[in-house]
Amino acid sequence: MQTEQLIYTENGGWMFVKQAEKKLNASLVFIFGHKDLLQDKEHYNHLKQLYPDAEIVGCSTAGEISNAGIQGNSLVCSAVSFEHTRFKVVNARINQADESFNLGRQIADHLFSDDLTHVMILSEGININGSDLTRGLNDRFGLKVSVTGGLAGDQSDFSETFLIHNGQVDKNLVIGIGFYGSQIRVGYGSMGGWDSFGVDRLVTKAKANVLYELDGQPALELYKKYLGHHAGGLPASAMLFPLSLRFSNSDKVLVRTILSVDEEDGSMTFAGDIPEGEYVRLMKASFEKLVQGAGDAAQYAVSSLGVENPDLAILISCVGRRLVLKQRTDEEVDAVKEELGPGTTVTGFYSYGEICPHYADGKQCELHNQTMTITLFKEL
Amino acid sequence: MEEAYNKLFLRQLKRHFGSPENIPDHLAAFIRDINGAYLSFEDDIMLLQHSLDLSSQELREAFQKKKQDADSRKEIIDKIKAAIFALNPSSSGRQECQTDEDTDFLFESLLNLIRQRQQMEISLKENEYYLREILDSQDVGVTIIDLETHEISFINKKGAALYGAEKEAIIGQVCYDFICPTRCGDCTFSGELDNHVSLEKTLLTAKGELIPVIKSVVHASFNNRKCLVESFVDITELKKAEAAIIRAKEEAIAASHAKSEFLANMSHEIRTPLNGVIGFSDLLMKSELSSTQLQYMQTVYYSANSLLDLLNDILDFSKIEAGKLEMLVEKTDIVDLSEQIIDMMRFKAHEKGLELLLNMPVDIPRFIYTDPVRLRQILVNLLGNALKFTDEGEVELQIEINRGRTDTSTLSFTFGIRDTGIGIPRDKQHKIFESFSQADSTTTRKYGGTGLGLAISARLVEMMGSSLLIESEVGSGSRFFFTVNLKAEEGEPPDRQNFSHISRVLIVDDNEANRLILQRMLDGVGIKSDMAENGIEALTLMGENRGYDVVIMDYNMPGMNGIETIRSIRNKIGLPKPEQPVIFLHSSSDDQEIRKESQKLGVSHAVIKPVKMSQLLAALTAVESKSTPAGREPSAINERQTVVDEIIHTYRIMIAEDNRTNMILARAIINRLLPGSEVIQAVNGAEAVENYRLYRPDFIFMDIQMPEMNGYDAVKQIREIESSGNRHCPVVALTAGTVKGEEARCIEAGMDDYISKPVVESTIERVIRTWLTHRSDIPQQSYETLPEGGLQHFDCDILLQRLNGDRELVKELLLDAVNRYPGMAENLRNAFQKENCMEVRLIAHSMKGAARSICCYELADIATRIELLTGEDKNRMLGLLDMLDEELKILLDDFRMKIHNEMSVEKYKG
Repeated sequence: MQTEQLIYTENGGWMFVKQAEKKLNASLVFIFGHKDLLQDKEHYNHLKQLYPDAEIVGCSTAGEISNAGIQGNSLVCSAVSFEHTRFKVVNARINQADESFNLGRQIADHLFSDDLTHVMILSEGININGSDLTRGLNDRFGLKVSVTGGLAGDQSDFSETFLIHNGQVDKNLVIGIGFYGSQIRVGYGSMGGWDSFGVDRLVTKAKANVLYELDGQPALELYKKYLGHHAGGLPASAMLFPLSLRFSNSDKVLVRTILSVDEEDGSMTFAGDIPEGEYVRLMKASFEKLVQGAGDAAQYAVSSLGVENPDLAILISCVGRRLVLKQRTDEEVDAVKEELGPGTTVTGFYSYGEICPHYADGKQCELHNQTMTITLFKEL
Repeated sequence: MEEAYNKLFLRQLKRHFGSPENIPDHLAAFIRDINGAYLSFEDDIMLLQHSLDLSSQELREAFQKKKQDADSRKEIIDKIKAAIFALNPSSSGRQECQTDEDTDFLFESLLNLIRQRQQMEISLKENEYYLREILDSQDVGVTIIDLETHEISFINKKGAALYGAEKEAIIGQVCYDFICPTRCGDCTFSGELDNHVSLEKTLLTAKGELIPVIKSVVHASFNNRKCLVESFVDITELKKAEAAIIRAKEEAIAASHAKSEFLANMSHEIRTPLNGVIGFSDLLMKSELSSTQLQYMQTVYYSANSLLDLLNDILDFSKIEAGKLEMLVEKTDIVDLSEQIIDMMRFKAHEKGLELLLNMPVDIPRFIYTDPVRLRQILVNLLGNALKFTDEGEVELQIEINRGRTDTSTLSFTFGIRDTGIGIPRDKQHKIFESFSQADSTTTRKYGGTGLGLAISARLVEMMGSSLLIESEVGSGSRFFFTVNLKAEEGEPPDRQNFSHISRVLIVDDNEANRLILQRMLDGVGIKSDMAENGIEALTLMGENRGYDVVIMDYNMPGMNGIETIRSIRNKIGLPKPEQPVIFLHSSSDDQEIRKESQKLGVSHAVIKPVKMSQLLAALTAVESKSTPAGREPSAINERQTVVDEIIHTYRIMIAEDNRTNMILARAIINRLLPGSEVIQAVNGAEAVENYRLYRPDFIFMDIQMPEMNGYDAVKQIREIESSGNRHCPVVALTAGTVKGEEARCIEAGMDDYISKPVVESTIERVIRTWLTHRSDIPQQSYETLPEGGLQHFDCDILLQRLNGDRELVKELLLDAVNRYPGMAENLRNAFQKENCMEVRLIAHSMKGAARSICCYELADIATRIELLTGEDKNRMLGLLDMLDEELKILLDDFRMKIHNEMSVEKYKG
C-alpha cells in the first residue's frame, strides 16, 4: 500500500503534506473537510484530475486531521493505492433516523462476502441513529467482520453534514467501504479518557436516542444546572458532560454525546440510544486523560493490528474532545502519532460519533462518543 | 480591552509590558492565543469546581436519602422483629439487625411463626372436630339459640334426631313455632337473666308431634353475641313409666278402699250371727242351769263378747285406716264423762290395790265439744292399759287446761294417764303404737289384750288433730298424754257453795297425788287445807290446836290406818263426832267391817275413791248444813235416781224385723220381760204398717233395713195414721249401729228411740220402761193386786243398763247389799218388837228404796208392804218379816255368787 496526502486551505490552496516517490495511481481517496469546501466542485475536479482511477469518499467534519495536525476550514485528502487488496464502496441514503438499522443491514448486505475483512463506515452525522446503524451492521456481519468508522461532523454547528462519494455530495448519506482479502491487515482501538462522576441517575424517560428525564426530572434542566453560564452554548456545550451509560447486565459502559436539544419538551438527542431503566452518570474530562486516552487507543490499535508500522491511520475523534482540549487538541494527535511510527500517513476528522468494536465485546461494533477511534491499515 | 484578559495574564502582561496596549503587534496573535488559553483554563477550572460542588451536593442528598431508606428499612425490620418476639417470646430477640445473619434469623422466626400458626389451625380443627364429636355423641340434644334473633345457630346430632330433620335444615331457623311450641315472646327463658335447670317442657318435632323433654337453659355469650344454650333429654319413656306408676298407685288405693268397704260390709254380716250367739247365751244364762252349765255359759257369753269387742276393734281400725271413721262432735259434759270413766275403772283398780285418781282443774269448763264416744274409747283404753300394767302404786287420769289461749271459745286440753307401772323401754316405745304389736312378745301371755287398742287410740287422737305421746321409764311408770284444742263452754255457774262454816280442812292421805287433788278441789271452793301423810302427822297437826272444821281421812295408810286414826281423834284427842266432822275416804273393796267401824266412830260421810268433786261437795255440803242424815247409812251409791214401776199390765208389742234370728231373740226377750204380753210380728215395713192398722199395738220395735219398705218409711206412715187422732205409739228402732247418721235419721223419721243390735234384754227393758211408763194412762200399781212371790227377785240386766254397764258398780252395790241388808232386816225386826212403828216404817221405806234401786222387785214389794202395813196386824207383819228374811237369803246368796263369779271372770279377763 502506498499513500500520499495533500491539504487545501483558502489561503494556501492545495499543498502536499506527504508525497509518494512516484506518481501514485490511487484507487481510494479519502477526503475530509469543511462542508462548504466539500461541496465545491472545483476541488473535486482537482482531485479527480490527480487521481482519475480512484474512488473518492469522504465527509464533512468538525475539524480535519492530517500529518500536519488539525485544521478546520480545510480539505484533507489522503490517497491510497493497494497492491493486493480489493475494496468496494457502497452508499445508501437515509431519510429518517429510524431507518438506521435497516440501512446498516443494507450496507452490510451490499458489502458482504466471505473474504470481507473490514468495513469502514462514513455516516451522516445528525440525521441518524448511530446505535441502530451499528446494530444493523452487526446483525449482518455478526462477529465475522470488524467495522470502524464515524459520523460526519459540522464544526460545532450541528446543522448539516455532507458525505461525498465520487461526484455525489449529499446529506443523509451513509458510505460503506469494504476491504477484502487476507492481505490487508486492520487494527483498531477506541478510547475516551472521560471520567464519570457523581450520582447514578436513572433514565426514567427516554426514547431511542432521545432522553427526556433522569430520575423523573427533565434531563435538560440537569445539564443547564451543570453547564452554568455555558448553557448558552447548547447543544454544543453539552459535550462538556457526556453521559456514561452503564448497562445493568454487563460491564459495558458507553459514552453518549448530545447531538441536539429541544427546549420545548426539554429533551436531548444523543448520538446513541439511552435506554430507559439504565443508569447514567455525568462525565468530565481532563486533558491528561484525554490525551492519554488517545495514546491508549493508538496502542490498542497497534496491538490489534499485530504488525508494526501501519501504512495508514484514520483517526476519528469526537468533536467533544476538541471542545474540551481546545488549543491542546493537537496533543492528542501527537500522542497517537507517537505510537504509530514515522512512516504512517495520518488522516481523519472530528466527528459527531465514532464506530468501532468495543474492547469488551470483541468484534461487534458500537457507536462511541467522545472517543479517539483509530483504524490502522497495513497491507501485507 | 482589559476585560477580555485573564486577570493573572493581565497582571503578567502588565508586569512585562506595562499595559496591554504596549504589546507589540507581532506578538498580538501570540498574546491572544495565550490569553485564550488562560481564559479557557480558568473557565475549565470554574466549570470543574462548579461540577464538583453540584456533584457533592447531589451525592450528599443521595447519601441522605439512602441513609433514610436504610433507616426506614431498619425500622421496619425492627418492628417485624418486635412483632415476632411478641408473638413468639421463645425466640431470642436480638435487637439489632444489621447483618445478613440477623435477617436470616428474622426469616427463620417468621417461618416458625407461620408454622406455629399452621399447627394451631390444625389443632383448632382437631379441637373443633373433637368437641363436635362429643356433642354429637351425647344422648342429650343441645342447641344454641341467638338471644336477639332467636335463630338456631347450632344443633347437635341428637337434637336434630329428636327434631327429625338434618342439621342443615334446622340451623338458621327461629326456635319458636319450630322446635319449641311456645310463641315468640311467650318464652320463659329469653326475657330473664337466670339459668333454668331441669324443667319439664315440650319439643315440637318436624312432624308436628310434641315430645316431653327435660330442658335446661343457660345464658352464654359467644363471639360477642348473647345466646341461650339449651339441652334437653327425651323423657317420653320416663313419662310413660310415671303414668304407669300413677295408675298403679290409683289402683292400689282403689283396692285398699275396696278392702275397707268390704270389711265394713262384712262386719255387719259377721255381727248378725254373733248377735245371735250373744243374745241366746244371755237368755240361756237366765234359764235353769246347773252351776257347771252356768259357768260354761258364762264362758261362752264372755267369749262371744270378747269376739264382738275384737270385731268392733277391727272394724274401728279398718274404718280409721279407710278414712271412714268420723268424729261426731257434740256437746259433752266433760265432768260427767271423766267421772263415768273413773267409775268404770274403779273396781279393777281397787282390786289390784291401786289408787285411782281423777285430777281435773276445779274451774274446768263443764262442756266441751268433742266426740264423747271416741274420747271415752281412748281414755278407757289408756286407763285399762295403765291398770293392766301397774302392780302397785297409782293410776291417774289428768285433765289439764293449758293457759295462753288465743281463741276465747277454744281451749287447749291435755289429757294424761299416768301410772306407776312396769314402764316401757325406750326402744319399744314406738312399737307399741303399731297395730297388733305389743312392747314384748311375752306381753300377750302375761297381760292379754289384742294389741289393737293402743293403735286405735293413737289414730283416734290423730283424728282429733293431735298425737298420742308417751313418757316412760322402765320400773318407774308411764304417762300417755295428748293435747287437743277443743271448743269449750262453761256450764251453769256452779253453785258457789258458801262453805262459811268450813274454813279449814285437814287432808290425811298417804298418796300425795290424792292429797293434792283434794287440796285443789277444796281450794276451788275457797277452803284452805292442810295435809298429813299419815295418822301420826295428822294427830300432831291436830294437836297443835289448829281447829279443823273437817277432817278428810283416807283409810288405807301405812302405820295407823284411817279407822285407827279416827279412833285416836275421837278418843285420844277427844273430839267427838259433832265437834269434829270426818269425811272418810275408802275404796269399794274395803269390807263392811270397816264400814261398821267408821259408822261407829261417827264418820259423817264416806266417799269412795277416786273422789269426785261432786261427791266431795255433797259431803261438805252435808257437813256445812249440819244435816247429817240421822240414822241413815252413808250413801255409798251415786245419786242417780230412777223410778221403776213394776210391770203387771199385759201389753201388745209389735216387732218388725226381717231377720229370723233377731226376731226369735226379740220375742224371747219380750216374753221374759213382759210375760203374758202379745207379740205381733212383721217381716217388712209394709206388713208393719198393715199390722199397726189392724192391731194398734202399744209398742213397736222397728228394724231399719227391711225389704219392700224400710223402717223409716214404715214409721212415717204409722205417724200419718196416728195423726188422725190416735194416741202416740212409741216406736223404738233396731239399728245396726254401723251406719253413720242412722240414729238421727230414726228420730227424724218419727221414731222415739233407738237401740243398736245385738239386742239384749237390758236394752229392751230400758226402752220399754222409758217409753211405756211415760204413757200417762198406765194405771198406777195397786199393791193389793200384787201376786205374791210373783215378781222377779233381781234384774241384773236392768241394773247394769241403768248403771251404763258399770259392772264394778253393780258388784259394789251387790256387795253393799250383802253387807247392809241383813243389818237392816235385823233392825226392822227389832223395831217391830219394840213396837216402834215409826222406826219400822222408816226402815221399810228405806229398804224399799234401796231394793228398787237395785232392781230387787220382790224385795221392794215386800218392803213396800211392810211400810204400808199399819201396826194392827202383827201376824201379818211377822209373816212379811219372815218373807223378807227369806227373800234376802235368796237374793244375797245370788249376789254372793254373782260377786264371786264376777271376780273370777274378771280375773280371767284381766
